[in-house]
Amino acid sequence: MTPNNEIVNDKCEALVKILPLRCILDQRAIRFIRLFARVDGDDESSNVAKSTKAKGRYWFPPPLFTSFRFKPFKLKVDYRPEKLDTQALRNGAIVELVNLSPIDNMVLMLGQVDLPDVTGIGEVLALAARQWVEDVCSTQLLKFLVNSRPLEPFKTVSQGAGDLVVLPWEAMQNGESVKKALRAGMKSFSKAVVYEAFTVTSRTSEFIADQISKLSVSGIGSNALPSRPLEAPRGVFDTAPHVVESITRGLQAANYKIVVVPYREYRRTGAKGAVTSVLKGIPVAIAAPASGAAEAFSYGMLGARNHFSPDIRKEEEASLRGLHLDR
Amino acid sequence: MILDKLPKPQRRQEGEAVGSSDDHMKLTRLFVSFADCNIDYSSSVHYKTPSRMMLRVGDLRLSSNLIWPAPQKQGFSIAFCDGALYLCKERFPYTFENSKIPRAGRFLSAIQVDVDSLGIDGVASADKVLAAMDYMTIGTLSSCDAIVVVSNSPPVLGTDASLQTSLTVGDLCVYACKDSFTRFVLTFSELSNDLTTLDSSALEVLRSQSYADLDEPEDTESQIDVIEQKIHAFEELKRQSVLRAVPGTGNKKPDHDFLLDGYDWTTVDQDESSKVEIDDGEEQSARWYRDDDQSQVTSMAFGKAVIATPSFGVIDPLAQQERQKLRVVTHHFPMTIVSDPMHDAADMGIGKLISESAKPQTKTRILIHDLSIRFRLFDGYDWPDLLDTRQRRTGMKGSFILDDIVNFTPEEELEISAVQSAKTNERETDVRAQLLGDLLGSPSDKPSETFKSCPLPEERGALLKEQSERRRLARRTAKYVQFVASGVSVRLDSLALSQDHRLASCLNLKARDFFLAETISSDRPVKMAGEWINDADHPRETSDGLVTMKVRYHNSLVYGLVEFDTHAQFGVLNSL
Repeated sequence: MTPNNEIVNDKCEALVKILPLRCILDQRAIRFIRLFARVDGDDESSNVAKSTKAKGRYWFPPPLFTSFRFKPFKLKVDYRPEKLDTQALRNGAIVELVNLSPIDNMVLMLGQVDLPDVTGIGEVLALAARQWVEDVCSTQLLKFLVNSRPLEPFKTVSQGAGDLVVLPWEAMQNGESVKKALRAGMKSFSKAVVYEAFTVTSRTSEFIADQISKLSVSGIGSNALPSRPLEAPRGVFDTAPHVVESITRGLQAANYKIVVVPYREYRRTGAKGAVTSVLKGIPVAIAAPASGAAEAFSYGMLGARNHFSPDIRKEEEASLRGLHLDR
Repeated sequence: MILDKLPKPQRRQEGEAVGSSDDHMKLTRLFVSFADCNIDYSSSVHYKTPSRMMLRVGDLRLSSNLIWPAPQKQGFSIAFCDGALYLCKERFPYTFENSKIPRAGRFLSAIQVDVDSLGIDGVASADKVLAAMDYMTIGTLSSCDAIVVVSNSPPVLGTDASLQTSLTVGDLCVYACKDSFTRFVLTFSELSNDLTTLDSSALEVLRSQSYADLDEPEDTESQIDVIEQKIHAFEELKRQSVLRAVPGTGNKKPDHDFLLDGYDWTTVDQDESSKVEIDDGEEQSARWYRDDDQSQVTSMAFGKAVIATPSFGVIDPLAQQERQKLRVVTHHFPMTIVSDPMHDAADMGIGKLISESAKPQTKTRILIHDLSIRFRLFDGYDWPDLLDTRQRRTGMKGSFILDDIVNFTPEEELEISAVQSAKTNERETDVRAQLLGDLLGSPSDKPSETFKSCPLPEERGALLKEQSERRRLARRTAKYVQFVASGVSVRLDSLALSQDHRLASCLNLKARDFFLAETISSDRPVKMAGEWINDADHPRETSDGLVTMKVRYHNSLVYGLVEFDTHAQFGVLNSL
């Protein structure tokens, strides 16, 4: 005990090392976690502490970390916003701008954090988070802009184009083979262009397929598009089953609206009813196969992209590992 | 228990009788088994959080071979499997258990054995009884095996400990909604606070221990001398740590030429196998490593006095040929299964806490191998009837039940406040009725009892609406956030007090893999946070953990506090 009759904190030192992490964040999930961790009404833990003190008992204080060190690590972040709070933005919460557009493949470097003389693990985490946020805001804020979904393809392609110039230049400066460097630069540039072309095409056609399928009338089921397989396709040939199923589902929806329903109407009400139902089914007969074809094309592009970028495919496979067996 | 007598092997002298009773050791085989039992805990009425917890134990076994006189080491094995923890939202009465006690009516009151009011009559299965009592399953543990080794002699090597506990734990799962999780945490907190906090008498004892030594010196000058000696010893320890090169730390500032994007995350930690010396900067190279011992052994095997190493300038072709047969050094597995904690802590600058000649002895060691943890936190509430009107309406309208971004119309706000005030008045009326007691008539005269079995149409409608609301607000098993950690290994070494060092305990924690998944944003689970696999940019060693944490507790230098800090650590350990 100290001369002031207080219980002294335990002293300790800590070191934490974290390997690179991959994060796919959704605004709704973050809000859920925040609400789950929030304590409603009074702070119940402090009520427990007060009642303990009131009963004449004395807590051991939390440990004093004379040194708490987090080693630097990398984060690759995808962010999916749900909605933008315009009221908060008007009130000065600039962080809401993050919810303007999804963010893809943003790599953040979180530097080493050394915290001296901090009491309790809660304070440690809060201070560490604050330091990281300050560090990111001061050095890596531009990444939030260039990695937003509309600009991310340009960033990747321009990085590849940069390699086309920078690598030969560096080779010339270091006296190495310029031809080899030029070949490496060409490879990097073409890889970036191909990757982004497939990705953008796949996403665009997926969006189109989704919008068109919402317009089609639900005859067979609530969704004319089949759900995608859980595993990421390794190549174009792996996409074949889903491609066939998408096209088939679209044709089935069209067949149902153009053939089956008019036939039933004809049996019930006659030719006039059949013609009316055919006319009503023409939009679906056009939209359903179109959405199926768009979905098939989108998934095919995804398979082609994974074929040319096996490292991305491995990342996606790793992000699925351990998820579905726990259900 | 089986009692055996083992004869001690010994040299027989001439004329000595064999098997004299003084030379025998006694062996007792101990085997205790519990199966299908429950441990029940109901929170004290003095605690704020009403709850009742039940730990169901599927199988618990304790076994050991007890030897007397006590040998150097004694081992115990404890095996536990199929455990489950249930939580109830209130202090459910023990009337059913009381009613089973023989002749309970003689020494217990009628209320204490009243089973009819519990509402579990005619319920057959255990699960239905738990559901009727509003118990929720909070957690499960598939298995846990513990080997406890008690050493009767002081540990000699750094890898030995007086008490070593090695735990192999299976899957530890927690499934809870917000209300049940909060109640469980508060129940546990209140209990652990009571067990780990000090009362006034213990505080007085502590205070007297802290200043006991200060009473011995007769004058302040000798007190100051003693304190100065301590400070000097501390400075000496610091000086030694600065002079001594501690592997893994180094006194050099990081060279910015070798930083990636301005960060030094490419630093490679110390290799576990201490017998192999790796040149600086060559940690990532792939080649065969040799150790010096092999070359010396080779030269002696051929009977040559010369040591065949290039540094001596004499090369024996036969010895050289033998040296070509290199042995493979396993980098990813340590030479000893349990390594020296001082060695593990080398990269934390442990030199400032122990002197060069110190040999810290480990008093207690706890090892946990390959633990898997799963926390699944669901949307919804396990006990929706405890919610107020606002929470219920919010849960019905938001994108998920816990959502708080809900805008009520003015009419809805008025309705909510009206319902809440009506409930408040009803509560006040009940309190008034309780205070007035029999003046309002006996409970059996209540008019509502008459129509209990046959509700009116409007009451039936309200009842259906209430049940529908409860179902909607109940736990949604398809919407959750899940935290999974696998391959968790923990090592906690608590060291004996000594004048040679200030190190109190060491904690090493490593998780091979962990991830955070959610199904809030979509129907399929999405990994919110997990390992980023990219063999080209950052290849991962098999022995690396996704998260590694090292903590070193040390004794403070304030005079007279050494004994207290050790007790505090065990208090912290108990609360953990």
